[in-house]
Amino acid sequence: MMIRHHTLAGLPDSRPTLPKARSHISLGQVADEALFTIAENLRRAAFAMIGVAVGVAAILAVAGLTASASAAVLLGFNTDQARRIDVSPSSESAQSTLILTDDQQHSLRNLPGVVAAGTIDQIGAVSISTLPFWIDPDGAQDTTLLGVSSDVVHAAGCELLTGRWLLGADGSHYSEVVLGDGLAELLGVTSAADGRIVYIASDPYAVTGVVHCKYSGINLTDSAMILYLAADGDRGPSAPEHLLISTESAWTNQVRSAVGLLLDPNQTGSVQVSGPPDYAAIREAVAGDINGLYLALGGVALLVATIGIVNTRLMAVIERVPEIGLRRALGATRTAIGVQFLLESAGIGLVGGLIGTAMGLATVVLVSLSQSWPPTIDLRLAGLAPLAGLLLGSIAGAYPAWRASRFEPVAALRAAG
Amino acid sequence: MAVKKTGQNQPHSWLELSAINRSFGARIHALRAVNLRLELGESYSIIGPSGSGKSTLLNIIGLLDRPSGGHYWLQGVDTTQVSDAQISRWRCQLFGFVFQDFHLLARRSVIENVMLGALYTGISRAQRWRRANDLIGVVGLKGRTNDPVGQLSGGERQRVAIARALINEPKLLLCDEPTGNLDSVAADGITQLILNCVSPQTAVIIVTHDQQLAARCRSSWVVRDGQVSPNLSIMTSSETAFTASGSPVTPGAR
Ligand SMILES: Nc1ncnc2c1ncn2[C@@H]1O[C@H](COP(=O)(O)OP(=O)(O)OP(=O)(O)O)[C@@H](O)[C@H]1O
Ligand SMILES: [Mg+2]
Repeated sequence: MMIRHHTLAGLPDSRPTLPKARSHISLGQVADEALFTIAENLRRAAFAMIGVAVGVAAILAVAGLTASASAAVLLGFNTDQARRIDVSPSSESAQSTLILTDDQQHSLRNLPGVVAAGTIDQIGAVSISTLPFWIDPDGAQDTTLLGVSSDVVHAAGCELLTGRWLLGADGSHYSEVVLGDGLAELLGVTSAADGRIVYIASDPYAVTGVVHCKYSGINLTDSAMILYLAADGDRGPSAPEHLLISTESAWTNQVRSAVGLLLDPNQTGSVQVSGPPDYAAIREAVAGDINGLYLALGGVALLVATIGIVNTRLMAVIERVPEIGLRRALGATRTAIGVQFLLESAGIGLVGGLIGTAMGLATVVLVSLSQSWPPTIDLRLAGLAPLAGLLLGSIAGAYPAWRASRFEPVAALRAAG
Repeated sequence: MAVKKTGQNQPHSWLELSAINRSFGARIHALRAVNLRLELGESYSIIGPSGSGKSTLLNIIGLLDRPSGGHYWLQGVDTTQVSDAQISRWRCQLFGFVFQDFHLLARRSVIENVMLGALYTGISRAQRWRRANDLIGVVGLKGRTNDPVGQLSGGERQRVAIARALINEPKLLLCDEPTGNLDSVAADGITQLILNCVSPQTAVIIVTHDQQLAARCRSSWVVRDGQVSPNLSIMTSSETAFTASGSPVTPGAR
């Protein structure tokens, strides 16, 4: 039965005492509530999410496209070229240097990493035709006659489109010629199987093959190539302009210095040894170019995303002032309110980051494919991108969350209006 | 640190305001030198003209607002010396609030709104759900448990708010014009529901403009110009009821 307390003279000592600060909402429960609230206000949250997503996607896309474009540039240098050493005499007087002694040839062939070595000598400009000059005086084409050693086919990265390469010293080599693919087309020679005859400076030669060569130091495409041995008498002493050495890729640099010593042991500077282009430098240059763009674009995207999320979060706070008042009335501390708003922003940032990562990856793949670049992306970067979104959301959400935590319960409740 | 009340011969009341002032800026004195005692197991009404300070008083009692001057003793502890975080926790551990305009989260269901009442006590979601479900039955909304509160009538919304206020088994239920937005039929039901909450461990305060409602509470105060005095006419009727029945009366049962 109930007793009128205020008439009691003395109250029992067993009255309940005030609860202590012990039990209160946990971080996990605040996180739950934050998640619930995001789901509830998904349409509003979507704006902030898109902001973050665009920022993250832009950064990922730029980074990914940079990588893809560099990869494409590197692919563009053909690997054949990357492994070739080109030796040429540094002056007219030094031309004979490239006429290798047997010893030198032997040493060269036995250098570790050397795949093939061959010389090219530009014999001179000649006219070439498929019919003798006296039958068809207008059918002649101008070309360059090259005297090559038999290994050039490998050293210059040549591919036989038809027929065979020049045979070695079997006695018939004087009258055999191989045409560059450009010249063959000009002459209408598409097949060498039937022993086509061409006339070079009115001498008949049998076409044994047509080649396409990757070496670009000399125009091989539009030239006619005949075997030219050092001992050849009737054309005068051979004076090769180029010694081409193809190497195994890991050995290129070692071979390069060894060849320098081999051909010019006294370091007189008589030969010029050029190796493949410096790929590290090229890569750096490409990356440097795009890095500036990358930073600028990424910075702008980040700034826009941050401003966007701060703005939408501040609007959300203002819209939810009565709710904040209610939560305070229901026992929320300032901290609980602040943390909830912060976690909401972080969650929005994380979701935005995930969406942005997907968007960014898709962009890299689609653009790369359309440019026929190999899609290249740093997986660590892709893994960090959603976390970057989370961080962005947290940073941008900090001030709005602080604002939310500052409302006094009564003032906030009144705002319901 | 909470400061214990000293130099007091009489044991303290459960809640006691002494010389409480509340001013807004230099000119608005919403409460002036308010002295007031409150015990558990009682029902109290506060009446007074608009702008007299009723809501301000209720907010201070409910620890939603803090006085500009004076002392507020809660079980002998001076709350004016206590941190904001502790005050916030006491709000959910000791008090339940019912507002004139309900203050529900419109997008949430009935049960989610009721559960929100216990969110900040830290009890588990399952426990909150169980308590909320029970209370929804108590306030007569059994069939509406999962409806969004936006679909409810005013009277039904206030029932949700009452269930929410009761979920932590408050010592004191504070109602600021709980029937102000309701028609007389709905108001009657709500009043009954609120007065039913009075128990030996629970007191109720209702701010109202309705003299009849005020008369249904055991004690009544009038606020005029920020000053509080006993509402004698209603006290009399209450005393009469008490003496006439000759035995203690549970206000909620009237
Ligand atoms: N935050 C505030 N800032 C300034 N003045 C305020 C504030 N809150 C209340 N007041 C003033 O304090 C006085 C008392 O307000 P209160 O809301 O307590 O009145 P009330 O008795 O509840 O009125 P009503 O019956 O209309 O609800 C009023 O003059 C009001 O204008
Ligand atoms: Mg009021």
